[in-house]
Amino acid sequence: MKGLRMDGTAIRVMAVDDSPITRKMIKKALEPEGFEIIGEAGNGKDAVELYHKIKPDIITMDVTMPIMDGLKAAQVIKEQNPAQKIVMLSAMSDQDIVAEARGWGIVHFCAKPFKPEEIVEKILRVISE
Amino acid sequence: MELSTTIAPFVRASTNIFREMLDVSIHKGQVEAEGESFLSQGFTVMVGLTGGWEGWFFLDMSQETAIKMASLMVGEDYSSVEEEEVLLAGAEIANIICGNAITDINNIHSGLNIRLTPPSIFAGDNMSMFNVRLNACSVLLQSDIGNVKINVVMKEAK
Amino acid sequence: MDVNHINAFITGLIEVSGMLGLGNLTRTSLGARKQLKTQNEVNIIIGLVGDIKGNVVLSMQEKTAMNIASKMMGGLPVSEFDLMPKSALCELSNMVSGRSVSELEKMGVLTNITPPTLVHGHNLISLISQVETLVIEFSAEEGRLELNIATED
Repeated sequence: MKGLRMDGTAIRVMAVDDSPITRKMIKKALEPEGFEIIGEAGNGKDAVELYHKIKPDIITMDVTMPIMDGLKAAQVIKEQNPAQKIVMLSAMSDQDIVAEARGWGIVHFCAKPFKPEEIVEKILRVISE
Repeated sequence: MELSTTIAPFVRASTNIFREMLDVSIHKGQVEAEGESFLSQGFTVMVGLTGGWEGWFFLDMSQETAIKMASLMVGEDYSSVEEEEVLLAGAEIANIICGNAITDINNIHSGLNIRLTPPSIFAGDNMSMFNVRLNACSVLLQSDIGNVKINVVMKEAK
Repeated sequence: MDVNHINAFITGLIEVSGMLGLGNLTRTSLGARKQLKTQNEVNIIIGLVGDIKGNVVLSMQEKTAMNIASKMMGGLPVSEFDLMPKSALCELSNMVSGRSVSELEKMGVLTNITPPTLVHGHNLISLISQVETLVIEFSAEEGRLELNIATED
């Protein structure tokens, strides 16, 4: 159960994506490994609001979302808590987007499509940093 | 602009995504020219493209294939296209295919800056898609879950 | 969805209909889309990317589409929903979106539009957005029209 720490507590994840299907797939990839999905959001604005309430260990954040996109939401969250761990998810790996994100301390990306094992490994790697 | 080369990144992306996300292998057909209209197999996802090129990407299949695709993708048993998650699964697959394809295209043709609309999904009987004065080309992808046709309709923006 | 942006599309439809001589187009209702099924066989989609991003679908029954096409072609009788009426409806859609985009530009809102796609079929189920879709119903002599707006701004 890779999602459980040595002390038996679960790694707490907030899943943000405008596609409910993708959020479902993330849950299905993570929950069997013991991760706990403590919250979900469908746009950047809701993500920022929810973040304050639940303080997850890590956030998976889709880049392209309505109302407020993932990069903006990640930037806002990082400004408030620079130590917050965030993995950006995207079907488009534009060099410009990646470079811009780095400027705000957002360095972790996972390209879509991803296999369940890939997202698990990525989260573990980011958590351990 | 050669439509048959335009469609290539979409074919690559589709093949890759079917394999990576669904564990389904694809047998690619030839690039076929299509006229202004094509008959849907019953379930069609559309993504619009704007920027240096304008047009549409279509992901077309039978309703049965769409249900199988959603079931594989999500790991649940769906039985009808009336279930919203079947439509959403189709939308997400098309979204990822297009995201991957236009990343390629934008990298190859710098300055083109193609952007995508959110996907729309239509399912029904005797359904046809018509684009006035725009020519299309398509590639049939054969798989164990059914025939999936990808269709690209494009022109250069003025 | 910004009400000013919605009004730009309503203005576009009403003005273009007026220019084409469609009879007495009036707005009859406005609300959120409640279900996936539609009885409208004819759906013309335009995609938008820019300051506004999303899809706008003009939808109607086949009979209404044929009546509109006939009006657009100077009263020529249209007995089948074939290439001619389909082209006419796409033209209508182009004009409406063009007009709407101009209205938006006046507000400083810039957006690119795709060419239209006309989807025609029976027993249709459609989903044009993962966020809310606004449905604005209109009534004209030629029949009822629906403007479905699913945009993020």
